[in-house]
Amino acid sequence: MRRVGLAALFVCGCASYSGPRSTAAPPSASPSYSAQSTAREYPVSVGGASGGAQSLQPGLSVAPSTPSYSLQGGVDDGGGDEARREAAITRWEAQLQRGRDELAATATQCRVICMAASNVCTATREICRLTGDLIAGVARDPRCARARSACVDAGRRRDGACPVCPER
Amino acid sequence: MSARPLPLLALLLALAFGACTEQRDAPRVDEATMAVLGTARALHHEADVYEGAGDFARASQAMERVLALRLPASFAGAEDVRADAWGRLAELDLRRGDPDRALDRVDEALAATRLESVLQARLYMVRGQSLRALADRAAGARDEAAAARRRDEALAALERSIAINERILRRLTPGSAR
Repeated sequence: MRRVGLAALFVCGCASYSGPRSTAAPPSASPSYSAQSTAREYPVSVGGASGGAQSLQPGLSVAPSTPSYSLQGGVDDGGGDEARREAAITRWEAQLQRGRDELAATATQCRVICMAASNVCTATREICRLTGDLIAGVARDPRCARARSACVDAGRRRDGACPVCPER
Repeated sequence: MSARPLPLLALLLALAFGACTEQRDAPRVDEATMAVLGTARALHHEADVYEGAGDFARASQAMERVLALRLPASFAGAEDVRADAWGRLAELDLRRGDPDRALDRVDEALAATRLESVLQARLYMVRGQSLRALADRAAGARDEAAAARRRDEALAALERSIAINERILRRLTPGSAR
């Protein structure tokens, strides 16, 4: 689907408006800084320590990219260690951000899906009222029959993609 | 709260989708645009309050203020913000028992809405609802010819609304075949 920059910004904390990232040195320089502290900052858990892809929502997963070494040191105690930690943290932050983006996109997509499905059924009621087929049962008018079929299909699609519609 | 068929409170919200997906790499929304969007959102909330209290006139005024907002031409969501406000305004007209005005509003909005979206589909739905109300009125006045014409127009608008929403649903849920 196209465009619309708006409200993600309000609703979903979409990455497209996450504000400039701080360039200040993260606490990563400290040996005590660990992935757990990042996870606390970001309530979304992605690509856990096991390195396996972790499903965020049905059909939505994030590929693992957990660094293969500890942030708390251990692989290399030489001069490049700190730079590697920084790089690892940067990758993790990017991965977390991607996870947040996907969750936000999914939530917003569900708003659209739920709205479209609901509107199909509202229009169906209007059509069947106009054709005199308001009472449930076999529709006499093909337009009402088509609309009812569209409403059923829209409901299926909504239930498949968004079992729970987002609240306002 | 509103009796609208769907929580359209801030459709502002609903279509952020684009920003979070296809437009992920698009330029960020600048601060001035954010401020305008924040105002639009606040006005939708204001309209909710008035609508909930049955004050449709003031709710409409809030939506008219949304339409008066100046969104940068470069902002891709501007059309949606306006289509949302137009649609809500027309729904408010319907609730106030003024289908003529509702129809005028949706026709004006549809003339200015180029992109296919749930908001455009909603405009067609409100068009259908307005025409149905006009058909009822014509039937009440025993003008059967006008009533039949309005009913046909209403059916066409409603079917078009369904067709748009079906295409959107198919795009967003490609794996959920009938």
